Amino acid sequence: MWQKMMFPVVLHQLVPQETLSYTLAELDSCLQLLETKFLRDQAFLTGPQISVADLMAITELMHPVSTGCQVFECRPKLDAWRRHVEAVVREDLFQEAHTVVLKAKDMPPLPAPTLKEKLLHSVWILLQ
Amino acid sequence: MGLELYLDLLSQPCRAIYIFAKKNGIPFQLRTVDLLKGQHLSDAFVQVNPLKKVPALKDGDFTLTESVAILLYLTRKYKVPDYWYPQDLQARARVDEYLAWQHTALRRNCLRALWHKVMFPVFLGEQVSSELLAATLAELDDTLQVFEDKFLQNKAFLIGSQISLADLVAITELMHPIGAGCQVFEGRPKLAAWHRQVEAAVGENLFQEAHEIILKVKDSPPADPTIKQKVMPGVLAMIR
Repeated sequence: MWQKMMFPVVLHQLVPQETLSYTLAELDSCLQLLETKFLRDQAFLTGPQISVADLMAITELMHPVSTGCQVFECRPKLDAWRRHVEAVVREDLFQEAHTVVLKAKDMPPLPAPTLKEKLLHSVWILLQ
Repeated sequence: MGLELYLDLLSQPCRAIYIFAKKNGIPFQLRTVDLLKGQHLSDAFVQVNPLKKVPALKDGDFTLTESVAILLYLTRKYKVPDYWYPQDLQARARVDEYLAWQHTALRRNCLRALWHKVMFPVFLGEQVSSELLAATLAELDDTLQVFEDKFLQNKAFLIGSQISLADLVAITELMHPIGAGCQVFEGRPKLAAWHRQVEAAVGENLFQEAHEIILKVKDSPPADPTIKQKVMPGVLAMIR
């Protein structure tokens, strides 16, 4: 999310294409693991019912979704899981919780250079 | 077949599990997975853990990965003394809090310190720039400050007056940079006192036994080229 969207849009920092490609490839590998090791042929990550594991996972995946990454396209199992989780959580609550992140790409650039500098420092630490 | 623990005592989380199981008299068969020989990448081990990492646990048909999950499984199954993972809601939450924080904080810094200072040059024959090493050691130092200020504070152990899973996980992490020759306890009397307390609570013999390998890691022979090629991608991913 930071490399694809927040850096260029909010912080006005370009991210080299190779770095972004590498990050997206890593995300792809993780999604593969999520499907093959955890989800497998189950409705939810740990069995037939939702657990905190599903909640943690879905909220993570909404980060790249918010940048336009096609996380669920071409992954029918993961997409089915997402629909199950959303249904159990309830669509309106799910949308409410994700209102901010889904509008993140429309955020204006940071106006104050000092704030940008402060944020950049914490973000680099976060992403290292 | 009883409980099997797939471990390499080179690995910090493996040491925590080894100590925990031995200290609590949990019967298990040790299945050594030699990381420096690339055994975690073998077809046989991939059947146990497709993520190709240690530790892993097999309890009959039940296989479990992820060190924190394994420690908690053992805690729950074997009815160990309460202080390891207290019933008290808030004390338990503090253990959970530490276990969650440490993955991307102390674990990461300790791993990077060992690999940048010793394993890259000695085992992999790859030089690490002095700036990178300095940056890694500075990050470790910052994390140790957070560890002391936020988690340890003025307590004997991380959660209070008794040892818990949090202390075991933390001490086994800190032995990584110790194995690399970093003097993490020097100039940090609170941390040094905590270290002595944890070692006494675990038992000195068991503590030394679990740390024999990491304390000799500086003397590891260099990897042969085939092993180096096999393990390198995993190493680079691990220490990012």
